[in-house]
Amino acid sequence: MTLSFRKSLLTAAALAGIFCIGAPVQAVRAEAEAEVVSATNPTVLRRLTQLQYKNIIADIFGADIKIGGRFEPDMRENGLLELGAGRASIPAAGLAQYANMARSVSAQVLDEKHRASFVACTPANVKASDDACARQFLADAGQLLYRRPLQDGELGDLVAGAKLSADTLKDFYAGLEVPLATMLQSPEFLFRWEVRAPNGGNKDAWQIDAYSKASRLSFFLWNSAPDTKLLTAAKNGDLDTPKGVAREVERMLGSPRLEAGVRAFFYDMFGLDSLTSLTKDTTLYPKYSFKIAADAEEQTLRTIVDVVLTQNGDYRDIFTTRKTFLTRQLGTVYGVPIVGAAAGGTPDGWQPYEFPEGDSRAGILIQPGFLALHSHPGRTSPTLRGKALRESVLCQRVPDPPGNVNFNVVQDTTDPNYKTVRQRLQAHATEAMCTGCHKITDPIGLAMENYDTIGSYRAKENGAPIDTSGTIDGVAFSDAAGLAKAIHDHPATASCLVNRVYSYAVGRTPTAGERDWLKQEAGKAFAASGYKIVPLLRKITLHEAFFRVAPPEGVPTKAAALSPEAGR
Amino acid sequence: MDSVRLRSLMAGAFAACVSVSAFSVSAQAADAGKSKGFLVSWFHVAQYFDTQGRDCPKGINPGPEEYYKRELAAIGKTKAEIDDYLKNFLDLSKMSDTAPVVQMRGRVNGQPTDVYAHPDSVPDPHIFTVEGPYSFGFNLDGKEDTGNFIEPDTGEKGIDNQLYRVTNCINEIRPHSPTEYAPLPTSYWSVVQEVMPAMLIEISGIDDEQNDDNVTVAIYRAQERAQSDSNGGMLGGMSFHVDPNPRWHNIMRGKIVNGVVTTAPQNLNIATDPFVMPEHKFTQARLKLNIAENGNMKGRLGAYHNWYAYYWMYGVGTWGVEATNNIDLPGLYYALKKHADADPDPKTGENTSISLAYQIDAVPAFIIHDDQSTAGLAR
Repeated sequence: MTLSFRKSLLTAAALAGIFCIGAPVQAVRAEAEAEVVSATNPTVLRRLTQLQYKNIIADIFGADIKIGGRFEPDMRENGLLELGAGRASIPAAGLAQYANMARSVSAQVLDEKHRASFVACTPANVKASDDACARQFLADAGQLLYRRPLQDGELGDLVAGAKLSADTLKDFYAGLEVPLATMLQSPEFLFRWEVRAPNGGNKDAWQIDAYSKASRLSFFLWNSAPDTKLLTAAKNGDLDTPKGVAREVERMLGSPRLEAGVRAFFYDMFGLDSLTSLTKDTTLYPKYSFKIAADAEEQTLRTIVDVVLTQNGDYRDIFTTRKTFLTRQLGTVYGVPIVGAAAGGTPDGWQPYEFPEGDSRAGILIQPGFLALHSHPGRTSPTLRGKALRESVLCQRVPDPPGNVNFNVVQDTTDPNYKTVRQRLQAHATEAMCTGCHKITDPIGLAMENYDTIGSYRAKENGAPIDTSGTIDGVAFSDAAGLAKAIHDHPATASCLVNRVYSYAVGRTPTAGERDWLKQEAGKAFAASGYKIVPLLRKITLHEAFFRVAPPEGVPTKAAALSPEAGR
Repeated sequence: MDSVRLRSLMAGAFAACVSVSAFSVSAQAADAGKSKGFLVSWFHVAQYFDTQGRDCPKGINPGPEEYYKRELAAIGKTKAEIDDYLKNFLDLSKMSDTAPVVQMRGRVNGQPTDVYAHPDSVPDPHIFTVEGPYSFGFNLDGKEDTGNFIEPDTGEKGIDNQLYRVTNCINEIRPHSPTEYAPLPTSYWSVVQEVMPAMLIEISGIDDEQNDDNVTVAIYRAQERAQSDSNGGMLGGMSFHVDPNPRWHNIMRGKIVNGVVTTAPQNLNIATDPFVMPEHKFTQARLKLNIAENGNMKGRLGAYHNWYAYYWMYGVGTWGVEATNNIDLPGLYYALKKHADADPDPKTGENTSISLAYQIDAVPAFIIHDDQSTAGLAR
């Protein structure tokens, strides 16, 4: 029997419950969906997103730990993956993938190259178990992975597992791999648990407990697990006081890790995850590739980060900025040269690029990360683009088309009677059932028609000039840049962001009372700050409702500002 | 002003884009006249496919199963031994066992000799060469000699392309249809593209795209490799930085007549892959280029080149090339030597160069120069 196979068996044994540190994932999900009757049960479980999983491993064990394998697809709900994470589960097949990743990460962390960085103690004999050293490593790693100190029983089981494995394998570090892999595939790691706790004995004001607060802050602002300082603040009770929370929030807002949090939010808000699986008809658009898609995602995120963090600018400027970043591959889509100095002779990196005044390439809506994402594989779609803009940028709901619509006119791009998509949509909209929705999507989508399905510029379609003029909610524009300006100035642009950030932060849609606060206080403060993102993050994290959850069922409340759905 | 300046732009629309300052890099508009940049997507011998089969009336040269019989018999192997050798030799898994026999089949003073290093250590097998009347290429010497070809598209006489004559009756070097390039050149070019920096062509100083009596045409080596698009073609529209080494800067005077770009003869140095040929040293080279409406370019290069370099381009592959690409290497050597048509050696009188034509395909690209490397460039 090979060493690796024996380790696998030991890990499998751990999963089967020999090292009973937590219920199987499916059972945990069932528990979460069942009636919550205990005040100490979690209010909600959120499965780690792919980005969060990767960030945590990188933050705890280093960026050179490779993560291979297939993650369960993230779920989107009410416009955000973060909300969907509260309903995501892990089926048996997916669990096997997480188990494989866990074993791979564990093996790398404890290989000869890395072990000295993470195992602070030295075992008395590397060919045998060492409970004290194992306990120290597992307690340290476990606290970071579980986002709370391990309970005595949990730690004892893990140490016992390490002992059994090490003595069986005659290798201390190989022995540690088993309990580490066990933790990495535990629901305690794969799901974010938020545990409710009474707030100073006030039965009307339940909150999540201190360690849950640390996680909520950390995943919101850094998109990763709490660091040691934040866990210490939770342990010391600092996170149970406004002053302590404010101190930690300031530290986190000032950290370079804030960028990861901001990127994760906008990645979620603008649905950039869909770029990963975006395909195009490469017969028509041979330039398109998954590399282009990956660069498009990164371009949009870099553009946003540059405006809202690097420049500390007005959030709304992400829709009008002429500054962006390009790679040589993206340069082929844009039709512009990438002239930056070669790094090591091969300029494959990112280059800042500024479009000239008056160019219609303005803002993230006129980038492939939006244009290509909301197009069909072989043709553009003003309707999809308009719908996406309404929903993701303005938080307006656009109904899905009825099932019996005839799309023949729209889809036939070769009909000489309708050379442009504007003409095809006008013909299509003569059907009464279609007119209503197309009125709210198509005029804004048509403004982007100078950009084909991968985002390259075109002046004509089928030889006919493209008309990009239109109106949005009473504001007229002549082209994509004009639309971008209208979006910049649209009152829903800022209010949508405020609502999205709050939903993302607390993992649910705002309650009626919270919506009022968001409009009257957070929204106005956001405007007063010059629509800057960092003050908005501060405002939300320091709001007294940020950690608030509904009381357990059966506990009577006055239910003042909190509707029953809060905290579910 | 940043040290980087743009000299070549794809088209007018692009010119508008790059004539502004990027926010960390300043760029300036091209010099007077428009410039066009191209990434070369094919650069190898231009082989004419004669649909009437007039090119090789004696047939296509046989493969190794034939010429190895001859060669092994010549060094005294019995029929049974030859059959055994061939049986094993053509089984690639056993090739290394039997290869030394064919490699050392040369004889110098009766001693076994490496036939690839010394191809004249065996008699000339007289491989078949082209006898048909047509070939792509140029009239390089301005004469209409009896051994010249006729250009199939234009009817121009006096075409000098002896490399075509030598190689086009070899199955792997001749095209197998009018619409595809020959197998072995395709393979060699693929190797060059995958491992070597890209080859660039820039046409600058264009005042009139249809008729301009004074343009500059340059062939450069890039710092970056070309990349493929999703259909396996070359990804157009990429930006390439010119290799600052002046050795790879070939600047030619040219003109445009009715939309066709031609250049005056001059010598060119073009780097390729050491596995193929480390460096093309074309003499009296000239270009004829056509830019299509979609922005792509097709054209040809005509020139002379040291013929032994072409022998060694294939000879370096020794028995592997012989066995898998149907090239009788000593036969190729003798044919190249026989049909070489320029640059006679002052001592022996034997020609050292052979006329040839290369096919050029290219897609639009941005070509980015460094100021220092382009200083002194005649504009």
